[in-house]
Order: sequence, then structure tokens, then C-alpha cells
Amino acid sequence: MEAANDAVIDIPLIQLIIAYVFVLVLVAIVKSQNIGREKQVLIAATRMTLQLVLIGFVLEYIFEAPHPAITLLILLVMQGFAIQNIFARVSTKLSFDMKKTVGFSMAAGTIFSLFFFLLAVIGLDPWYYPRYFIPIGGMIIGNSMTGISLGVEHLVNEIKKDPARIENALMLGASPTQATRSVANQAFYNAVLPTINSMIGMGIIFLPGMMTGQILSGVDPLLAIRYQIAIMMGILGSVTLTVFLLVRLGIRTYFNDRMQLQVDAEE
Amino acid sequence: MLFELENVVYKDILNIESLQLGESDLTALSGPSGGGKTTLLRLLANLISPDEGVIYYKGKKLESYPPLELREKVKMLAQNPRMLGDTIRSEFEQAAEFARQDGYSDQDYQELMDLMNLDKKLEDDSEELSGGEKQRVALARLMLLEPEMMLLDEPTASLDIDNEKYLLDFLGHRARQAGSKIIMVTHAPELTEDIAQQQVIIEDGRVKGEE
Repeated sequence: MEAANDAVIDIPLIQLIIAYVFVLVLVAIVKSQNIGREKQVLIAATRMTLQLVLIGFVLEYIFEAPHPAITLLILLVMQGFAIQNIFARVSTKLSFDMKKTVGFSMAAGTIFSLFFFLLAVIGLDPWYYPRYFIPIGGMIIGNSMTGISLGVEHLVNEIKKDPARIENALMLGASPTQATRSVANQAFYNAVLPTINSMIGMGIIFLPGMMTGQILSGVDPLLAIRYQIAIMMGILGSVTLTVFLLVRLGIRTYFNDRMQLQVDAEE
Repeated sequence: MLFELENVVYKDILNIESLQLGESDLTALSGPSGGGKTTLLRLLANLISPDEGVIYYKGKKLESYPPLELREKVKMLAQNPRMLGDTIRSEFEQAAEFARQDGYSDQDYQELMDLMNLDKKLEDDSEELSGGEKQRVALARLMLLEPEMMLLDEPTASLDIDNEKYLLDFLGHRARQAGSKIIMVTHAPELTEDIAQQQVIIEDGRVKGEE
């Protein structure tokens, strides 16, 4: 098909099947080299196909009949998976209080950022319009999930590494916030660093996925970059807010009301 | 009486029926290691709370003080103190900030360093110091704040004998002169005999002797 004007080129089913040649080539290579992973490659390709077909139909259905309850349900499901994913990713054991803090920070930070973005920046009307709400929500939640995973892991490990240092500050009269300031700042920095780095490389080292997608679907590049800039701000805001909440509230789970550190620091 | 303990139990580490501490300028706690001396200091510093029993400070229950108010009055030095800044100067600055006190100058810091027999510059990296030097810097940053009660956990443990004698003399002198009272854990009670007005022996979590 000719790439006329700005219309999207359709991919007929037959041509899509041709794309699977890549998988066959990979399987052949894996097999000939005796790497022994051909089953995994096939499973991955099949899973991806099934999952995308499924989500394609779901989105089609949702887009056709937008409903606030369904949009919110999807937001809830995304949050649930994201929070589960954080617990699975973090290699250290989290206390129940810390898990609650992770859940609260994720929910409060992403929901605030998402609604601010959709209503104030995009001006979405109606607010639950799923074609915007779901992909943008996914990006905001996904990036915040990465931020919180890094933040909570760093926070927990740093406090465990040298609780005596925190206690030494308490001994001099520091409040819990003062005593944990360097740990908290470091955790915050580690968590937002990937977002900052991705902004630095954007447009030169790589073209971000959303912008690429929009350009492929015929959107004027100048409009696509506006969306990309806006979403990056939304992501930065959400990552910053969720991680800030996590660090601030997370620190509190380590102290009781007598401002005593609840980690054994005696040597 | 500054500190009074009544039937204080902490895990299976400490079990003190009755003890009064800190009326004299300098109180020395001694006894075999693992006997509960550090735990006792940590209880007094409100870093931990007893499972049972009551601790009074100046006639008021410890838990009735707002924590920061208590830590303003009672400050502690750990046996292996951690450095909290990058340079020796920032150790002092951090301590002053934590205690919400200001108005100190390099001269104040330098005076304390001299008193501690520390031949170091304020710009020196505090992480590079030896154990004994760290201990003295940590003691100096604590003294800067002039709390009314100082709890010192073996403040001379990493020092050579000359420095140890010098520092103990200095502490005894300081306690008599300044407003600060001192309760200190010592590994060598014979060295604190002359300077301490009260000596308490803690063994197996109990008070074994007092004089």
C-alpha cells in the first residue's frame, strides 16, 4: 500500500502473519545453536499475541461505549497490578506498614497527577473518555511504579545498613526527620533519577514510544511533541509526588510515638 | 535525684528493682561486658522504653516528656560514634542544627578540639579519622551543645592510656564546673575512682554494687 498523505497504513492479516517470520528465524537460530530456549521464545510470542488481541477487543469495547464506572474500574485494576508489581520487584522484605505506605503513596500521587493532567492540561471532556484516560493513566502509573520500587528499596536498605547512624543523630536531639534526612534525600534522588535521565536523552538518543506511535498514526510531529512534553511533565510530577509521599510517610513507619527508631541499632 | 528507676525490666537484658542515678556530678557505671550497661544508657536516653517499670527524670516520668524536649536535656554519646557530616566542622554544625542551637563559631569548635587534645583541622575529612579521634570529635560535638545531662558510653574506649587519663580528668573537671552532669559507662572502674562520686556496678542486668 502506498503511504499516501497522513493516513495510517493498514496491516492486513496476511502481512501480519508474515511478521511471525522473525519468530521462526529466532527459533531456528536458538535451535541450531543448541541454546535450548525455543520453547520460551514460542511461549513469549504466543502470550504477547493473545494478551494484545484480548486487550484490543477490550479497548474497542470500552471506546465504543465510554462509561465512568468502567474507566474507574480499569484505573483500579492498573493500580492493583502496579502495587503488586512493586511488592514483587523489591528484593527486601517490606513491613505491613511500609506496604500500606507504598499503596497509599501510589494511589494518592498517581490519581492526583492523572486528574490534574487530564483536566488542566488536556482539558478532557468528559473526564472519563477512555481513549485518553487509559493510555495516559498507564504511562503515569507505570513510571511512578518504577520510581516507588527504586525509592522503597533504597530507603529500606539504607536504614537497615546503619541504623546506629540515625540513632547517633537522635542522641544529639535530632527529630526523626532530621535524623533520616540524608537517607531520605538519597532514596528520593535514586527514585527520580531515571525519569530525569530519560528527559535528558529524549529526542536525541531515542524517540519516546508515545510520540513515535502518534507520528505513525498520522499526527503532525509538532503536535506529537506537545503531547510528549506534556506527558513527560505529568510523569515527572507523578513520580516526584508519589516518591515524596513514600519517603516522608515511609520514614515514619520506622519510628514510634516516642521518636524511637524501631530497628535494632545496638552493637 | 535526676534519674530514678523503679522495677525496670527490659527484655531479658535488664532487671533493676531500684536505682537512683546522676545526683552527683559524675556517675560511673561499670561491670562485665554484656551486663546491660549500654542498655541502661539507652533507656535513660529514651532510645528504647522499658517493658515494665518506670523511669523518672527530675521527678517526672520519662514518657510524660515530649521526646524532643527530653532529648534537649539528656544527650548521649555512643561507644562507636558515627560521623554525621563530611568534615570536622560539619560535625559541629550538624550537632548544632539537630539541637536547634546556633551562634557558634570556628573558634568555639577549635577550643573544644584543643580541649580534646585533637591535633586536627576543622576542614579535615571526618570519615578519615581513627576510632579514637572519631570518639573525641563526637564527644566534642556533644559538649558544644552543653546538655544538662550527658550519657557517655565508654568515651575513652578507643584511646591510648595517656589520652584516656587526660580525658577522664578533663571530664571530671568539666562535670564539677559546668552545668552538665555526666553518667558514663567505663570499662576500667579503677580509672574513674578519683573523678566519680557515685560508682554503680551492673552485672547480668542487675545492680551488683553501689558506692
